[in-house]
Amino acid sequence: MFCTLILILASGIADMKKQSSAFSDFFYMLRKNKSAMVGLIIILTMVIVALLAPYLAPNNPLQRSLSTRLKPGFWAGKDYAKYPLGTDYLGRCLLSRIIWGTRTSLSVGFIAVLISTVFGLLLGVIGAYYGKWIDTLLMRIVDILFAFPSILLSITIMAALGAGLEKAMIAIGIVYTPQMARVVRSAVLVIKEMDYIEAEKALGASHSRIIWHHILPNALAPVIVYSTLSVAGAILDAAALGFLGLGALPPTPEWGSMLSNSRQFLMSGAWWAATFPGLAIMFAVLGLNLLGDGLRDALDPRLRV
Amino acid sequence: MKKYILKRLLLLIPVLIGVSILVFVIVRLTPGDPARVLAGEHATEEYVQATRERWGLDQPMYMQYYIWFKSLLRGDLGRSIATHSPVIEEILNRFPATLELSLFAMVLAILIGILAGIISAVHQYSFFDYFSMSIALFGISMPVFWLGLMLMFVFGLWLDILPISGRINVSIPFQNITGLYVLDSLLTFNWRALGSSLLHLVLPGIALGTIPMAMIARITRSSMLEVIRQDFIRTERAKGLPEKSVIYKHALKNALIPIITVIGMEFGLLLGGAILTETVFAWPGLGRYTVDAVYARDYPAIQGSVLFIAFLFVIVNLITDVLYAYINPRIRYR
Repeated sequence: MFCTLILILASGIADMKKQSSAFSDFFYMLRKNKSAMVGLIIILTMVIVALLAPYLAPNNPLQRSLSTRLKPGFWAGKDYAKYPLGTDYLGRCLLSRIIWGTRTSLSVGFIAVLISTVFGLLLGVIGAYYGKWIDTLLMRIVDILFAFPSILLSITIMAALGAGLEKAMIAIGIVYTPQMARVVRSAVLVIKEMDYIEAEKALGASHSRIIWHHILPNALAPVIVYSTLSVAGAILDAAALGFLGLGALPPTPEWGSMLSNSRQFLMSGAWWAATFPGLAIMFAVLGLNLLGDGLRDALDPRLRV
Repeated sequence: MKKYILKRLLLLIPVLIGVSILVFVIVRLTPGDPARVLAGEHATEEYVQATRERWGLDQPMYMQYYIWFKSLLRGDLGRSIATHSPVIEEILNRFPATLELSLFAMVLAILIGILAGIISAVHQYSFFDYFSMSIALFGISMPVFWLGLMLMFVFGLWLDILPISGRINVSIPFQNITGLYVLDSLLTFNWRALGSSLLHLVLPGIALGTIPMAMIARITRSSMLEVIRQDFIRTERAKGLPEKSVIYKHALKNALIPIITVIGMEFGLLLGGAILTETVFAWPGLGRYTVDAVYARDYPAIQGSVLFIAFLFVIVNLITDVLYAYINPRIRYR
């Protein structure tokens, strides 16, 4: 008994040491990767903008006014400084709506991916660790969900649930679960065969201890990489749902629905109302893609395409 | 190889049955009485009851599914609530438009993507390399529908050189044979129609093709970079083979496996992008049909088109896997 305890303690300390060096390695790798740092800066800026939206936005994002409909922004001259990026079809300040929209889009992206990560981890670990029929069953379900293009599945779910931001989070969360489950599963399948897991089993460790202390920490790298890239996809899909009128309900400032509202005015020359929300989406997604690629190179070089 | 294809086809059956169950359940989860929806808003109580019995909606869920699945096997997807015509007919009428757009986008993506990828790899770290890879990076980060709108604005309104909606100039006399307008105009030697339908394809084609183009360019570059560093390439250069033949014949051939995999994957993903592109450009295809069905809460049409697209998606993925196994025999024996 005493021996076991010492062994476990020792392995625990060794684990911690190994992890701390792995972490510093990781930060070193990430710092060296210029494009990943650019991505990180873009994302941190967006997070700060989202948090400080009430202080950064020059105007009330919901304030309508007929007299300021579709006014251009700073490029039209000094008189237009009140609305730096112009106004939308209801006379609302575009810049303020984009700033507040950062909150909407980032939270949809993060929460949807959080949902998919929790369920993906659950399904992936259970399937890979216990194997046999549970694994077969779970993977067949995953196969079925894989038979849909992601946007089609979220549209279908939204058709049943009805429009709304929370529902969009759920729909996208469901859509991203199968891929996460596969990523987790393949990582766990490898880890499960490692000698140290054998050793733990020989020491009489319970399933939950093995899963929580040994399998999950070691499966984290691909999960972090994949979830970062998923947030990019989730933001794009949420914007697409918003664009189709199935996402955030008006008057919530949301980039996708801002784009779709401005669509019909594009042809009358009000290009700004459709251009800037799209640029915001693109930069958010670009930042996450850069960061995700960098994380992949730093954490799990084997995943490199 | 035959055995592998047969195995994959058999594995498809449970997946497709699962897909049909999933679509059925999702649509049935919708709040509200499906019989009332089917009968229409202003139907009498008797008519709603009759509709309920006719479609078996008074029976338990699994019986309803059984009835629906049986008609599905006969190719009957029910009738659209909005137009009262059979859903399968409407889908088949619109499918050629989506097919034509996807093929056009994919040809564009493959030609430009592979070429840009090869040049970037051969001239690694050159201006062209940085330039095309930055464009590719922006390309995969852009929302399809936004790119579509921007293209519409620049080329349709500002420069006014390309059409921004529809498939063909309706004033041109045109005979529809296959539903693929480019092919039909070629078959009937109708040059004006050919020109018009090609012009109409340009903007939606670029919008839809940009993401696959970017992905193909990136994978071609990294795959080529790996191959041109290998010994056999050095040997060929040493043998004095012309550089063009080394790159385009020998290196490209060996770099092709990951490229083809990505092309297949992207072809499947195009079906998703088509939904958004068709909405932006008023392209009368399957994607727009699905979105319109969702707006109109036309449940038989939603069920039918979602099933049809999922079916196409599964088939495209299967073809990709088979092609992959064909060029990379190691896969087959796993």
